[in-house]
Amino acid sequence: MSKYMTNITAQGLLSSWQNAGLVPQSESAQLADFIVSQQQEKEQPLYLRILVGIGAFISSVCFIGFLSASKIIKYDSEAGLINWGLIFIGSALFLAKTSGDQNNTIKHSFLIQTSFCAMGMGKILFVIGFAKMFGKNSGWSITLSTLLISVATYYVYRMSIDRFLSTLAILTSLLSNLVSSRYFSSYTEMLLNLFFFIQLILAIVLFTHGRIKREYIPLAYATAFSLCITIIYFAMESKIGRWGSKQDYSLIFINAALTISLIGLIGWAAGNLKKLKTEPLILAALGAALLGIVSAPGVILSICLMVLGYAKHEKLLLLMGILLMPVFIFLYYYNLDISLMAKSGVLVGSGALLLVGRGYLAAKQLDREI
Amino acid sequence: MMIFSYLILFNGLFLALREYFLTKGVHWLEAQWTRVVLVAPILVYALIPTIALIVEPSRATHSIIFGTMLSLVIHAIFYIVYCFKLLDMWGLAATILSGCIILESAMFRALTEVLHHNDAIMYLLMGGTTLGVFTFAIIKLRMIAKEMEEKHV
Repeated sequence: MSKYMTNITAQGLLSSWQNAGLVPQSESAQLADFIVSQQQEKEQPLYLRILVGIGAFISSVCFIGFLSASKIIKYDSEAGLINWGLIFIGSALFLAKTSGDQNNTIKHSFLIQTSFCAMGMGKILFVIGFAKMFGKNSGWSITLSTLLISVATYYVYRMSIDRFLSTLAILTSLLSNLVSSRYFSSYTEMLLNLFFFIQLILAIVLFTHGRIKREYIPLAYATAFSLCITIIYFAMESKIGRWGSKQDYSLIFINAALTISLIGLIGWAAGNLKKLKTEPLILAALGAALLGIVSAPGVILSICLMVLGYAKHEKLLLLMGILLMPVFIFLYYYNLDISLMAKSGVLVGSGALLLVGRGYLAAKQLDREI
Repeated sequence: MMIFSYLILFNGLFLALREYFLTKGVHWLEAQWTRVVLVAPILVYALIPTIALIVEPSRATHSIIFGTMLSLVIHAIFYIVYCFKLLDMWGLAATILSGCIILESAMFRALTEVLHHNDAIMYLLMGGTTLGVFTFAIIKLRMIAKEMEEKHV
């Protein structure tokens, strides 16, 4: 990671604008108030949110098991499930409100954990109840019910981990429905491409637009994760449709979309798309285009995540890209329909090519930060 | 199951080398993710024989028992190192999460053994136990993070 990556604070940014004469002293207080009003509550560190999420998920499954075993909730009554779901969601909102000050560690931690557990239980019961109403079409009803409950709670339950998981659940269930659908026949591939394209555009807008509110950051990450899940699925499965009536699926559109996105991201990260006309970025764009022709979409997606994470100083995106790269390279080489000797030759050749490229960049001093 | 012990030792060697070379001034190792990508797999490999021993102790082989002992040692080392020596919240959080999973597995096994005739009470206690264990873990991590912040202000 570059030693030039820094943490920029709002206070520091405002001070530098004042020093540069861009902001009059008389307006700095108003600007500071505006910045503060845009802030969410102070979020807990990511590692704590992951712990909260895992603990709440396990406990919510256990408590749902308790409700089922004790027959407090009858699973054959859809209305009952939906009502109980809403009761637990209401309880979660109440517990979150009463969790109090973050400085009171014990009370706050316990109530937030319990609140998230209750929210998990509420959403699961609501989705089960809603899905049961539709019988055989339960796949799409799961997606619809998850969408309904997530939209209803997105702005009132301000936990980023809940927003992230709910959005990811919607997108994953959509993907699952599309790849296993038996209704769309020849349109399935078109719908899948459209689904991928919409996710890609959404992720690009949310991550690159400078004025996206913080409350949409979980939505952005969920979209990025969903893109990774989609690509991982297609790296392992080349066919779509129900068992017994599977059809081939072409990755040409996804490859093209990701390649164009990568070239655009390279230009955006450089500060301006016009900088794509400079020598280093022409080489980068040509490399991206070549990668789009010979490579798998997962490799291109990993590079997109790395470029985005580096440009935005988002360590999580950078880490996702770095960790996914070997996975996609492994899957790419595993799926190549050639002998092991030929595969090893391809690996050695591509490694040598990368080293030559690295040498060229170092010789021309194009690997320096400007 | 010995494969997991070998993988722990193999990855542990590279983690130790990483920490050593970082103290010697190799700058590219400064990035936190270079530690996390080694710590996380080690903890996963440590979890597998431990959970296997908890779930079916009667069928535990020597390799599973050795793997479990190694796992406990690894967890203790990581806790001491990342809490008191190297002060890394991500490494500590990963270790504590792994510890929670082991503790949960043990408690679930015990509850299943004792209360298998009464599913409702069993699930209720499982849920309560999970809430308690993870809440304690979160409180502990927050307290340690606060202490670290105070020491480094």
